[in-house]
Amino acid sequence: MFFKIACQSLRARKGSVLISVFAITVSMMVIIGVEHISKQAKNSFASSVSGIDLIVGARTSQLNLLLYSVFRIGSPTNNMSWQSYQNIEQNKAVAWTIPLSLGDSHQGYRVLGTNQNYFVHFRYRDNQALAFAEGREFQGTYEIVLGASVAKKLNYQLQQSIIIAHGIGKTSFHQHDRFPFRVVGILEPTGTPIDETIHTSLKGIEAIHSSASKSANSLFNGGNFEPSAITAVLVGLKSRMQVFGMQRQINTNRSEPLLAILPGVALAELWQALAILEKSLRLISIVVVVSATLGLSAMLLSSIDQRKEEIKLLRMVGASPFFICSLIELEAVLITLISALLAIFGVYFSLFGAQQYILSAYGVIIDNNIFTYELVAIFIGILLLTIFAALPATINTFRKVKFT
Amino acid sequence: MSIHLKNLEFCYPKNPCGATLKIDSWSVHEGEKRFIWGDSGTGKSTLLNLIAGLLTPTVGEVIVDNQPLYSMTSTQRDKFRASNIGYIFQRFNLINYLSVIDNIKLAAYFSKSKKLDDTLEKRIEDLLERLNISPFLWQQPVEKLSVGQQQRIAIARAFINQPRLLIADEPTSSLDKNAADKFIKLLFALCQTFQSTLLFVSHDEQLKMHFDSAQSLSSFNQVQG
Repeated sequence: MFFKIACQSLRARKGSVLISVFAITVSMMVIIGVEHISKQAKNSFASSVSGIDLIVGARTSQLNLLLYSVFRIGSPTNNMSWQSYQNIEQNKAVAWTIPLSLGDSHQGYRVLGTNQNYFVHFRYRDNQALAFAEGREFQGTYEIVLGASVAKKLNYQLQQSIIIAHGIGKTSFHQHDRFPFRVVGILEPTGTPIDETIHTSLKGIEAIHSSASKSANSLFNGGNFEPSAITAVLVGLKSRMQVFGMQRQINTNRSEPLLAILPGVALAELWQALAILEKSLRLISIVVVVSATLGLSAMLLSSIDQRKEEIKLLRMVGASPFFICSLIELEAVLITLISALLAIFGVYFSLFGAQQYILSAYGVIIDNNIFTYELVAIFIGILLLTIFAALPATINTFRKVKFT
Repeated sequence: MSIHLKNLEFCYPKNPCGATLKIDSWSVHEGEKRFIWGDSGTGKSTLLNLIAGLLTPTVGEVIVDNQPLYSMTSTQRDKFRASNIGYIFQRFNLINYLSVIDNIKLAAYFSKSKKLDDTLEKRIEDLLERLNISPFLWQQPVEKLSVGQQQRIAIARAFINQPRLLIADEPTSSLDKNAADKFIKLLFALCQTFQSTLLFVSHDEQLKMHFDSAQSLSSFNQVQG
């Protein structure tokens, strides 16, 4: 009976109840969304590098090097010379290297020049190697391997020819349309920026940039070729113990100003930088939730005046003050429960829709599974807030009931 | 069910300028049908609220059915009221958004017996039939019903727990003369059936012709409005 009265009473006040439900739903969506996305972004960042001991590039900030080499965010300030790369590669402590050459794009997707080591040594998430969905590694100069989402989004098949532009905008004025590249492989999805990347050989990158007249033919014919510079190197060492020594050695290298970073340390710095942002977003979302519950509080309080007769009647048929106060609290809780359900579905389905966009725009994989302990905590927090929000109305009613 | 008031005085906490009611001694006998008239604002509803145990006297005693209401806890009074007293107001007798049946069930829900069983359904149906409410309306929310229908459902609500005291606070004031007469006849008939004492209050002195005993509030309230 108790429950039935509460439901019917809410139904009878559809208008104001719906608006409150809407306000709380939106605020809950904000808080759930912010929490979820920031957590997922962290996960996504953390899973993009695995098993790399050092990242080496031209001297810049630790964070910048990490961002552009691994996450394809921002642009390199400078290149490092091929000579320096070879020095690192030939160092006795080094087990393997993956050279990276960035700076070009196709339809807004970054083009990465590298070598076969990439497919052998690169690891993501928990030491997972790259796998081919179709095709094979690139071998010739004009061959490319696509990340999973590039292939899917642009609907590219094996053997298709594409044109690569210089620069990283979506529309470039320098289309190198003389050199069509051919798709020879498509990678399995990884949930990292790799999915958004087009891979080619270092020769391919050089071919884009070298003037047509000069050496296109010689490159294509596999002439003796060395790139003059690359963007960064991912380094794997024979022994982890040597990581600090190697880092020091590279950082103090006199022939060229280079920077070697430990991905883990750089990531920690990234979290630190993001922590402020994360905290302020969380603060804002909490403020939004509080203001929505204040709205609920006002709605409930004003409804008490309209329900004077109803309350008097309930008293007369024998309802205790406690019953009536619980009724008001229950109504508030029901409003929040409905809002919570709507918000959870709302976030779930918006993430479902936005996943692809977030991945292609920010290179961040957002899982739309939002059912975590945090969600439960948020939910309980908002429920408590609601009970508080209903207190003014409840206390007001209690007073009225006691002294009519 | 008998009612006794002794040396009773009542003033509202928000009204420091004086008492609303001051009654030395007043009583209603078991089975009586008592009519009290008085102008608006003279304390009729206050008197009824004291008898129903919704208010407690500032000074003095209220004894209903030989039980001292003033010494009960508020929970006991709520229970006592729900189980023994039926109440009909001028308006707002029913919760608008609940159906006819649910309004009546609500009254049964709070009573001591809590007979929310099949006999309850049967009792509700019998009452509604007796009050001439067509079964078509039973599941309707009461806000869709006319004032006359609502007042009859209010009677059903008031009688569902077979109350030993029925308090009617201006129940006929929203009805025309003809309907009012019918309403009172119906009320009497049901009081007869359930052996309920009736306490009927109105500003309309004319109605006293229906009752075996009638008095004005001012004849026993020493505070004169």
